[in-house]
Amino acid sequence: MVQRQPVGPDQTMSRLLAVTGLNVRFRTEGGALDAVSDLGFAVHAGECLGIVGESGSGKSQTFLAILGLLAANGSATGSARFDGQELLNAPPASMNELRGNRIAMIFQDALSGLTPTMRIGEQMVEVLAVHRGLGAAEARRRVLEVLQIVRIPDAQRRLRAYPFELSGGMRQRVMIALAMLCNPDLLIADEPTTALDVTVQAQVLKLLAGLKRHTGSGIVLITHDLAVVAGLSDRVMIMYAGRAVESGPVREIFSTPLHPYTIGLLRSVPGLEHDPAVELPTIAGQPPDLARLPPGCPFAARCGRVIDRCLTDLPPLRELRPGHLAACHRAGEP
Amino acid sequence: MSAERAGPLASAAVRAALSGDAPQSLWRQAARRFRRNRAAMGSVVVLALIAASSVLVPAVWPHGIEDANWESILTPPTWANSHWFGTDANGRDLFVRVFYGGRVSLTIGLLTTLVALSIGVFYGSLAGFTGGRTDNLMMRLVDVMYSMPLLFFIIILVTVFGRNIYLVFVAIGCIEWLTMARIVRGQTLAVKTREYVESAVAIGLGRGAILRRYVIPNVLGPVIVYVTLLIPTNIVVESYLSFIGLGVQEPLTSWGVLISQGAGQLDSAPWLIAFPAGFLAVTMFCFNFIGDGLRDALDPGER
Amino acid sequence: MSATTPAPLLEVHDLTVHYALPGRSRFLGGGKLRVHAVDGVSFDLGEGETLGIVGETGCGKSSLGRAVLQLVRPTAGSVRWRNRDLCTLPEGELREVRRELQIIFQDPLSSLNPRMTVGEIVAEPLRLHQPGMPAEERQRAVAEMFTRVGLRPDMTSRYPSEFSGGQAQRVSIARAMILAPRLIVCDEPVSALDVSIQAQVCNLLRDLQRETGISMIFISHDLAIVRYMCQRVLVMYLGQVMELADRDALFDRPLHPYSRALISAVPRADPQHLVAEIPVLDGEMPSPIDPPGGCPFHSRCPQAIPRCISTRPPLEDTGDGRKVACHRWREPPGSVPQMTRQP
Repeated sequence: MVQRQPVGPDQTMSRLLAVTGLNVRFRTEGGALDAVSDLGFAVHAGECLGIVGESGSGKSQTFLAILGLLAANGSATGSARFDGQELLNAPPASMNELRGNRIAMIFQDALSGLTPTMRIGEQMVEVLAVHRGLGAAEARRRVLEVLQIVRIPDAQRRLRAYPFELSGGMRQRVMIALAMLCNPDLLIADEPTTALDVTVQAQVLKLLAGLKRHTGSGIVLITHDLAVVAGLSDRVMIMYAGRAVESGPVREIFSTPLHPYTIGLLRSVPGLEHDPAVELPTIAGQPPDLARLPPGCPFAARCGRVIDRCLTDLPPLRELRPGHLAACHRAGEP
Repeated sequence: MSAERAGPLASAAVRAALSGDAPQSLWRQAARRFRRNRAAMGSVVVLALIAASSVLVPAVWPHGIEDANWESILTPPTWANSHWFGTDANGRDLFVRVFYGGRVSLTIGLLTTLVALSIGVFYGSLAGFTGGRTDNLMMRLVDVMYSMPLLFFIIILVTVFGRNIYLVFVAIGCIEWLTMARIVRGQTLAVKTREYVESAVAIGLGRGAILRRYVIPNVLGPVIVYVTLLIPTNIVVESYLSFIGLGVQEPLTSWGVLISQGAGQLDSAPWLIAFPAGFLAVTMFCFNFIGDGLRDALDPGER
Repeated sequence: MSATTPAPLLEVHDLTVHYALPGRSRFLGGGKLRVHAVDGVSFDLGEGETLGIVGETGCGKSSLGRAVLQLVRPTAGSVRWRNRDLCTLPEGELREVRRELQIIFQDPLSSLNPRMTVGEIVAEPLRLHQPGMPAEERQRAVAEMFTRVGLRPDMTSRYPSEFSGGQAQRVSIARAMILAPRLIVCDEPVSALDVSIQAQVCNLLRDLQRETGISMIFISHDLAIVRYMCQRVLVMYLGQVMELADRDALFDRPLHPYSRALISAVPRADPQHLVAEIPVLDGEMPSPIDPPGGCPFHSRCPQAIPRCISTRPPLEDTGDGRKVACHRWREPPGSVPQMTRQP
């Protein structure tokens, strides 16, 4: 019954990215700190995996580690295979070849992903020149095509703009265009809409949904917002204090959440349906300190269903329903 | 994303809070980081030794700074007769003169910096905090003064008031506060828009109190770093003025005066320039290392 | 709802905030470029009431909150607090009034002076406005306030950098509440916090309001949270009021096309509600520097007609206590023929 291997909805689907036993550790002034512990998951072509967690849950560090972008005091162990090739601690040259080409990234802060002193057009043409060896005219054609897909009005003129001249939404769209240029197999979007307004967020999410449908790329959507994940992902993984606490098909997660943390999160977001007269249920307390994690379940201190065993034994991820895993001793109890 | 990347690094303080360690003011945290910087701590020790010797040596040494010993003119460094650094053309002991010169040089460095610091912080924070037309006017004045060359300014002062060591203080201080004022103003402009200043206004706090308790403590970091770099600059400026004969005058001496005298006898008595120049260089290095250490300690994020 | 609202404590009339862009004066043309942050906003607020102000980045909602508290001086209009116009009040008297008016900011860490302990920060308003209070009594009051906002009283000697975002926001709330003010402006008080902490802080603010009967202006871009916190909601776009209505009226039947667009763009925590099917508003808010004429929303409005481009719609009273600025609010949304738009 204990299941630590990544489980997809359908094992015959091509597995783009398979992560097993991933650990990310930082050395800090106050000692070692485990940002990610024993994490396993898979992303398949044409699906969107939503990864939900709060700050410190390790959701961003996971992908920084996989892409070889950890801060200098961080180190990663375990395995992350992309299309059969091991990414973890791979030589920088081979990572550079993959990044921006077969694996693309979108960050929350689009401005930091764009070179401030280069025009948008130059940056995009350069990516194509480096990864695809395209000539200037050909590259320019492709750039315009992609800018049209992400619905940037007046694309010809925008090519000559510098990043700071664009609005936040426009910049994020340029980031997405940049990510799409080489038709990546895997797109990693880290909080792509957090800095955006609701109406622009809806535009960007819609763009990602279209991308998934039309290109067949695998998408990883990292966010703190359950609602963002709900309408876009096929599967969802919830992270807490560096571990996966629950993962499963999106409908299952929202209809029958198994882990108390997931249940608490779902309840504490007001949404437009919540009756304002009713007090919002909250998860008490704060997330634990990653440098002083308790021996048992990391969520035990905030959990309403805690039993003695939770304080001593780390609950393993168990498959409780088909494709639906949770790391809780009491999950599945009536 | 950047927040989370910083997360595991920045959470040390949060951790201390949860575990019940002693409260960590930013100053205390900076002091802890500074103590861990070996080059900076070493420099503090060396500098303290130089400073202590400058105070003590002239008081206890058997030779005075003006005692001319005609028996031993231009003696190279020797253990005999306590002429450890040798003697000059008048037979005066270089050892005591170097430390006496250090006394003068360090004092000038410190005092001029203090002058620059007080005027600069007051002027700069006032301009930045008041803003608008006042700020504009005050900073244009700084620009005008900037355009006046230091040497020219000092020559005017000397011709008008005659040679005087206090004039050197005034002249250096008067020029060096300009940069300080600019730095403080820039920092003040940045701090002024921070929400804690706005919330102090919202409480109903007066301008003076906000400037004193909310703005100035938060601009001090870069100021302290600049001070440690300004002291050696001012020592060098003094040396340079003394070298061309505008600064400290005989019988007083300073490192600049000693170097100037030694330079004339470079071939026959190289020790006359080697010792004061060596001390000057070591002092400069120390201040620079301390400055670097302070910068790293005060702004750990900016490395 | 609005019929039972007591006499307004705060009356904001035609409030306007324009900023001159520094260093961008047109050299020979004269006159500086001006940002129209707030453009003729009027509303009032009753005792114990919470008014939500929603809108997207740059719509002027933060400037509005700051202008009400005179943290930025309005260009025109009036802010009447207990029948005194704060805009014309001399500095000294204004400082005295400030004890009744407080603000909480979005970024909890940058709103606390990093060089003071949190105890000093919370005690600061007391030291200023009740200088005669003995030190022990002040300390007791601070400790009591700490407990009330859910912090341990023994944390008073710590510095802000030692606190997490949620705790720091509680410190901000403690400082704002310690003088028992009558109005508190909350400028995005939870948007910088983690999801599980947002609900805690929202509930704390609701509890404090229930206990003290304080009035609140709650500024947020998060419609779900505004719906949870507020009785009335003001929708802003490009510095102007688009709609002002009771919460339920607004969320159940938004009259302004922009209100409708905002509400429908909120992602739902429901997998059935596919992103691909959300009706999406094209484009982005125009720049508040030299804003367009006519209705500020016309460039994105799916129902815009030529009149919207030429004439600014007045803020009309709809008869049931709500106000809306749209030429076409009387027409039910379904019946409105959509203007053809370019993709």
